[in-house]
Amino acid sequence: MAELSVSPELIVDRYYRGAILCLGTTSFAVSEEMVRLIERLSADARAVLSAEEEELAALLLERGVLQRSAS
Amino acid sequence: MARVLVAGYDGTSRVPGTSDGAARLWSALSEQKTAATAPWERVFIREDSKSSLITCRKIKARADAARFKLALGGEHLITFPLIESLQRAEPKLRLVVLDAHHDAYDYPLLTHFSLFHFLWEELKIPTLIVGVRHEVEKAAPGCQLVPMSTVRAQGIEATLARVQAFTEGAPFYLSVDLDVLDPSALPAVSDPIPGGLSIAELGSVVDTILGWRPLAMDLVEYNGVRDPGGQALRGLQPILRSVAQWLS
Repeated sequence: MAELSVSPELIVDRYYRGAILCLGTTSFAVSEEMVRLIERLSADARAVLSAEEEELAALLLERGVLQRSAS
Repeated sequence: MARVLVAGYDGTSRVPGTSDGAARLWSALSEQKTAATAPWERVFIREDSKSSLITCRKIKARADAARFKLALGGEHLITFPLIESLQRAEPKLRLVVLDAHHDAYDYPLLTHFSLFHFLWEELKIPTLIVGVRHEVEKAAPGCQLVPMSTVRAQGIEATLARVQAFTEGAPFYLSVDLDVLDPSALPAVSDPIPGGLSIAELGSVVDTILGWRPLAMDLVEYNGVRDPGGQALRGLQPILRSVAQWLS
């Protein structure tokens, strides 16, 4: 089963809704839904994702926020 | 006793200074008290960490505990937790905003320039924004806009009639971003946009709308750093007088 883990380099600047994510020298704003997904996967890398969450996870994988690994 | 929130916060603003504006608005408002004025209870919140998360949570917790009749900003973001709290008690709440900017940009972060987009998307609060003259075409769908060009074309009376039709029979909140004023009337805002209302026009509009008994209101975006001598603040006296009378 594949796991989605959150990059250990990630810094999260939380807003009341949404957050600015920082990886290395790159930073970008993400929605509240993405923040919730990151928080969920931080707590449980094997969490079962909905189709909508899978789409968000794909975007976060592209940006290096999430990393996929086989368990 | 009317509760007044003084929220010195400018953490999501590019230009600092509205955090100082809150306390100065409070001082100027207090000068409008007369012997007949009922006492007000002031609650002061200032968040120097600049965290919108901490600030909004603090404001919402205070508003959940007891309703504020007036809030003094600070940047416009402070309106969001106040409305969020008020809507729980008043599900049919409507929102009237006077502002040069629509503050309804579709942006992932909740900030002073995206709060009305979030209020619509999350809470579905019917919102009418009057006086908009900056990037009108970039407002996210949901809010109703009355651009400043329409105010000028149709006149103040017709604009007020539209506000009255929007609020009639419903509980409503009035949010006044002071940059709705023309920069010649109030230069001390963070992002002045030419072509706004005069002091007399805003005074008349605020006076009329307060006569329709909003549940609560706020005055936001006065930038104290840009008004070191307080001259611009003194120009706001007619508006503050109306607010003081309504508050009492």
